[in-house]
Amino acid sequence: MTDPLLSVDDLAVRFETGTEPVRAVDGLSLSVEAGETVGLIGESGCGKSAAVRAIAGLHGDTARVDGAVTFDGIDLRSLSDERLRRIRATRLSTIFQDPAATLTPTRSVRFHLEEALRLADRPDDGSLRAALGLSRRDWGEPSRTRRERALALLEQVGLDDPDYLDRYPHELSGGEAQRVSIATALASDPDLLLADEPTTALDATTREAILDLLDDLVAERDLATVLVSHDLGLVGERCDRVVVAYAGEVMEAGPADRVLESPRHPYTRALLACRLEGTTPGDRLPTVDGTLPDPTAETTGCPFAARCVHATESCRTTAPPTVDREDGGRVRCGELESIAAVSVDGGRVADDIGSRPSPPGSPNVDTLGSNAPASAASTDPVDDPILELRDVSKRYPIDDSWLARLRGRDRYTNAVDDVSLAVDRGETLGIVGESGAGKSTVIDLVTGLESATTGEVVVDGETLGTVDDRSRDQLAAIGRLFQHPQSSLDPRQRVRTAIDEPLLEAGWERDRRRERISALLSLVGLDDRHADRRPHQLSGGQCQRIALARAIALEPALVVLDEPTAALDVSVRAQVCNLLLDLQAGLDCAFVLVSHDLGVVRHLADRIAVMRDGQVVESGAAERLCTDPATAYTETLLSAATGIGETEPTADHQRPSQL
Amino acid sequence: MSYLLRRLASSTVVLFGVTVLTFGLVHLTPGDPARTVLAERQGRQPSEADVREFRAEQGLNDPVPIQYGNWLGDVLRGDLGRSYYGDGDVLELLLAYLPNTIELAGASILIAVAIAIPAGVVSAVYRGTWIDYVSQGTSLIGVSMPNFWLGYLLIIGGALRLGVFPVYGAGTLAHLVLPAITLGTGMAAVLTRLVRSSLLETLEEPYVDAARARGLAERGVVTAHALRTALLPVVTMIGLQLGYVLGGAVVVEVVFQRPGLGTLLVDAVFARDFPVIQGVTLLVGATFVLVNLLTDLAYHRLDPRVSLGGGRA
Repeated sequence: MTDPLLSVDDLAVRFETGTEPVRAVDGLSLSVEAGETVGLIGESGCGKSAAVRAIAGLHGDTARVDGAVTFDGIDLRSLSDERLRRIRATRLSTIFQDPAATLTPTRSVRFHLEEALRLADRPDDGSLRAALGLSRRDWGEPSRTRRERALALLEQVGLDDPDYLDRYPHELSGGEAQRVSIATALASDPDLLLADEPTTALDATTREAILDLLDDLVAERDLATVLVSHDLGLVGERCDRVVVAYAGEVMEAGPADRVLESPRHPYTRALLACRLEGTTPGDRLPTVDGTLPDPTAETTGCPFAARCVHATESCRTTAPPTVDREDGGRVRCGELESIAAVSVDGGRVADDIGSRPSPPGSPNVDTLGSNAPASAASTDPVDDPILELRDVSKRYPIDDSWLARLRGRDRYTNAVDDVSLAVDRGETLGIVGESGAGKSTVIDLVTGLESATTGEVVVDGETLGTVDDRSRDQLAAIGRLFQHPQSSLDPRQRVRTAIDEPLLEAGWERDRRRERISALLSLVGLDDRHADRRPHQLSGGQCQRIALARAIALEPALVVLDEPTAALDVSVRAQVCNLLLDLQAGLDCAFVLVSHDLGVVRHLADRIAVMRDGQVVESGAAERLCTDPATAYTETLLSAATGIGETEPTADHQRPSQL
Repeated sequence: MSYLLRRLASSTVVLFGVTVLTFGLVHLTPGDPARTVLAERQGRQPSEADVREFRAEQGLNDPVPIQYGNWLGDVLRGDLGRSYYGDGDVLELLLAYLPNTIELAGASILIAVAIAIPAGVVSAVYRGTWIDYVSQGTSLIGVSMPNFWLGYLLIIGGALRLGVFPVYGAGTLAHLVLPAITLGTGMAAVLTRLVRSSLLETLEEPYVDAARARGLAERGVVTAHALRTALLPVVTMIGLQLGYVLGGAVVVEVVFQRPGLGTLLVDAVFARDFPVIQGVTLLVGATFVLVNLLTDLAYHRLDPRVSLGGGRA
């Protein structure tokens, strides 16, 4: 066998902080053959991004890197800055997670592409002349040729319209921005592409389209790729080999299909088990309990031991051995023999190995002195709905200047166009659709953050206006969970204060509030220790729990959930799904669940409404809609959703401008 | 277009407020213009008859709101009135003194930008090194130093000791150097810190890493990607600093005895020359509002994300 294109040996990355160094990557090794796609998998905070940056030499001054990185026989770690830049400009490209943030906001698409092309032709020598040359248009070729080459790049990533050249990053959707990023990465016709969570920030259909695009490009160009992701199932099937990392170390590595089929390491099993595919809607999902080990603490033994159901005393004290898999892979675990060989079906572990026994099925709601209405499951949905939207439309003016109005040229866009929906007490209505379909506007209307242009929003039999017009009781009847858990909490507020706010507004006594906060924290699986923390001291999953505790503080009859799992890892997503099911069973409240992740919606919802361009194109019982969709659009969404149906041509191919 | 109209409308309201305030404040301060002006003119205490005559002539017996209304009416017809002293038409006075002040303001902003951008960039790029500390320390001193004091230091050093620059007056480029340095360095200090912090923030952005990943050298990363975004708040700040420049010009013009709007205003205040005070205030206010409008328009040119249409993007 020839030498691999990229080989990483015993890579370690430490960040020097004020006190103790943080170990982000701790002895990671992997290799990539020419033309091969290797998946690097692990939860957030496992050091995947730090590893990718260190490989490309993009780690900052605060990081200390050890170990060897060899690219096509060249030791990248010993290269001068200039030679390393030359490699990055011509042979090794990197794309990043948040596509909108990786393009310079004040520069056009054309600038990005032409810069990448120019650097590939004539790598930057770091001189002042080169730096200023950017503004002097010192490119060495006529403007028309450059433009044509930039256009050709765009075509390769599926953006055929020359208009894209003159757009600025904020004028692109997430998917379009990621395509542009990929185009800049392709400018140098690289041998290796490092893709750091390229699809995590995108919605399901777009995610699928971007992964397809990467697949095509890899096949066309014989491009080797390192694909970083937290979702083993999503990425695994597109890779030749996968490397599963935990706390900066490789836990398991091997051929992708083999690892997906017969994962050995408890962590790999747990990650696979967290996925939604093959689960029965409404069932509790297996989760990986616990959190990542403290990266500043010195570990002896296996880093996963604290979260592993199979861990023994020796796991905690001695470093686990690396065992070869029969298929050429390797596993780092000392207890493989005691872990029963478990039959695996379709990439999903059949038992709950790797996850702790589920916490008590339903939280103890009695402590709350629940005053939620008695279960109305037997009621017919149409009879006494908790929420009803009657022919609701919401129009936004596109140009609202008074001059435009005077000229009678006011133009409107219909964010929501004549939508009627009903939600029964205690049931979950899922609303799905791509970004821009009007989902968020619907819930803004329900929660009263926007007023309907026409139509009525009826909650519990009363027609409601915006928040300003609603009474205390009407406000308390609806709870809302916002999309980004971290940014929906005030960074300066302690958890206690955040949860206290709705109670205070509702006029509760001080002692009663304090008890209630404790009860709510335990209800969402946290405890009083968390009450005095601030959002930045909490993980994404914990923030989401806090936000949820706040949303249910007043025992609303209806909770509106806006993309509750969009920003979360698969493992945390499973935890949040379980929590939502528990809460609903305990509090007997109705959910309106908005998500572009049909997998999550199918798992949680009783009924689903599919939205597109402001209209409901299809709605019905979740099971029926997922197995027998009535419209082509629903089918497209289904095919893009993880684990439901097969991958068909996606919406993205049909509507490139709607990305 | 409609944005421009809206901004002009709101600017008019601001100017109106400024003149009302000045008018009110001037009339609240003790001192009778009639007596002050007549004493100056006649070189002795004026007689009561003269005082009454002057008041009647200048309309000073009317209630203050009526006086303001009369003044405003004249302004709208393009007449800023006449100075109480002699025959100076206020508009002519303003136009005579304005060029000197514009010269001073322009030169000091140029000096400030010429110092602040390189110093801020170097400071941010070499964060935590001695270069950064020197730049930070210097700008701290610059911020803390009152400009009249710096002005006198420069007069002692640059004019009296070295004898290179004239001590006071205006007219040549040499006359401009010391006042412009006095006024420019204070502003440079504020701007340096802003450039530094803004650039440090942008250097953390993912797109900066992405530019490095394309193989761009650090200099190109800073000039072509980070700096452009980092300078946006600096542009706004320069616009706002104009207020500081005009205020500072009053002091600096007095220190260097440079004829300009500042000296004109100070003299008018001491002499209770109401029409001139009002005229200068109106002109300075209008300039300030106009510059900030231009700043916002420039912002739109620099930052494609800023939409001037208002409403939802």
